[in-house]
Amino acid sequence: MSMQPFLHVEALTKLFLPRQTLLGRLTGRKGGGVLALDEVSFLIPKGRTYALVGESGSGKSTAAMLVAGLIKPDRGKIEIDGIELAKATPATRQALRRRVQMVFQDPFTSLNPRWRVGAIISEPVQALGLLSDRQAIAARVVDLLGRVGLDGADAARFPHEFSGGQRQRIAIARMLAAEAELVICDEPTSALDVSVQAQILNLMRNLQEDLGLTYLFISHNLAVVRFMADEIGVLKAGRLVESGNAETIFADPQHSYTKALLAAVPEATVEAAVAARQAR
Amino acid sequence: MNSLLQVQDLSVGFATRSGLLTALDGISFSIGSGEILGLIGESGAGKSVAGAAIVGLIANPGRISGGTIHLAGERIDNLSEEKLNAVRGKRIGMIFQDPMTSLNPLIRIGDQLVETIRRHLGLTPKQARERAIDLLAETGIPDPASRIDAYPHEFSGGMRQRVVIALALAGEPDLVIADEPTTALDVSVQAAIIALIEKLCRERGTAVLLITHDMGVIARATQRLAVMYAGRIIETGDTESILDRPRHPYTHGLMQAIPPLGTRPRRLVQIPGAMPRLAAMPKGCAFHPRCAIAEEPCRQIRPNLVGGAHQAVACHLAEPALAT
Repeated sequence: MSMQPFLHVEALTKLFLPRQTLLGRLTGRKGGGVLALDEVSFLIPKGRTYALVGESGSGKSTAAMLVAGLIKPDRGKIEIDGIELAKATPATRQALRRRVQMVFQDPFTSLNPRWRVGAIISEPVQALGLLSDRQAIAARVVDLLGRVGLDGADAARFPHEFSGGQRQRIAIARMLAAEAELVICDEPTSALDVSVQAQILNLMRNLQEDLGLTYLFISHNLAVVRFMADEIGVLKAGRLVESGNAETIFADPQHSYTKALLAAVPEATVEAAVAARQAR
Repeated sequence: MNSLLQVQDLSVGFATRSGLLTALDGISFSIGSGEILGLIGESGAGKSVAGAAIVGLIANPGRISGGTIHLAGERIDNLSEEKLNAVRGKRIGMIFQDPMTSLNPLIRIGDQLVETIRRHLGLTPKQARERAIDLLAETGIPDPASRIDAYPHEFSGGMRQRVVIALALAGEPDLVIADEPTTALDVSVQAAIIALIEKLCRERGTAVLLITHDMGVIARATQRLAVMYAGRIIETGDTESILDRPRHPYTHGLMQAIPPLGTRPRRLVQIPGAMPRLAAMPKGCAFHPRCAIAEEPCRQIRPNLVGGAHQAVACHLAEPALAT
């Protein structure tokens, strides 16, 4: 495995300013902003998973949006496969747009309800000009549906005909259709039931092994992160309080915040139940 | 058994164009004073329908189609709307997932509490306000005497859920139904809210029906649990017994599917497929299409819940195939 980082984020900083009020405009005074992300740095080698964990408001989704290029940073640098996002020409950025894809939390809002599944999955193939022949595109859709555990015939159906887990499979197929290399997964299983979550997490790890995908995984769920991540960064109020090898951090957290976060996870074990009873 | 809440063979159906759909299919359980019963299941299992049925909140086209609900010996499933209103809030308190939708955003929390307290306890406005401050203090709101005049949006998610709990306790209920009370909260806040529910249960002797999808919350908060699947209870008993040795293949699979915090497995054990839709309920055991060990009887005959007080399971193969 090459140790060349596929994603390199350095001192990434994002400040959200409040909308200026009339009074503020007249007096020229600016309200205090929120430092959503404060000097955050990490890197992900190709084919590996880095997870940003944190509670609501920690800045993890802001980081996802910055890396996806959906919002611009105030300071700091994002490099994808050696290309600095801010300095890239529009053509380079367009090419990167194909290679960086997102999978969102809610598969109910991230799929167009008026489009058939076949159209949803073939859209990136056509828009990015990856294939032009209609038959080849149709064959690609069937192939992608198979890859995510769906049936080729599902291409003719609409999103509402699928369960939450199946919709997330469709979203993953769409990401694969673009031939993504870096996938930003923002709470991809938070809306799913546990038994379905296991299916989707296994699928994501299978795909990573088969295709060498690089994942930036965003989650508040430490158990999910433990399963997915090679390395993790713990975010608190926009700052990385701890970052490094997942195995090491889970076994021996150094920062008090990481320790508290880990201790708060309710574990579904008989040991946890006995400990809870004894504490009562 | 001397139970505060006794639910017997409760069924709930929804009349639709494609016929009557059975959301709840003959479930029975009881809760004693000061006890927390965990009702766990995935989406569509019927756990929230069970909670709603107990407080008489099943709306048209749904209706209770069978069974009985007794609260402190009195039947409450066939009450008139008027009598039911006297039970709801007064004798049964409710806590829902999203505290923002349980509170009126335009009314100060104190006024919401005072209104509820006065309605159920018939106190003077001054007494009710004092009572409200006490309740906020009891649920862990710092500086309750001044926070009582704040609006819901001025509280954080966790503090807001504490206000909802105070509201649920305003009528001094015997039973509290908590439907996913911690699901919308951060993990550190979640632990505090569970501890609070436990404390109130212990100190006030309130019975709690804790409805959740999270087996970890169950492990932390309950002594007894019931696992629901496709409208039925498929396993019930002592929390520790079931966590130690789940006997239904679904309960077993559900626990295996949770990623462990300790060692990182290469793959998670997964249950194939998804819970059947009400309109397409399979014959026999509802879990058999997803079950790795299903045999012919499972495809034909619905298993009943059998076993003792410590653990009961609805599975034809529970004893021989899953014994360890």
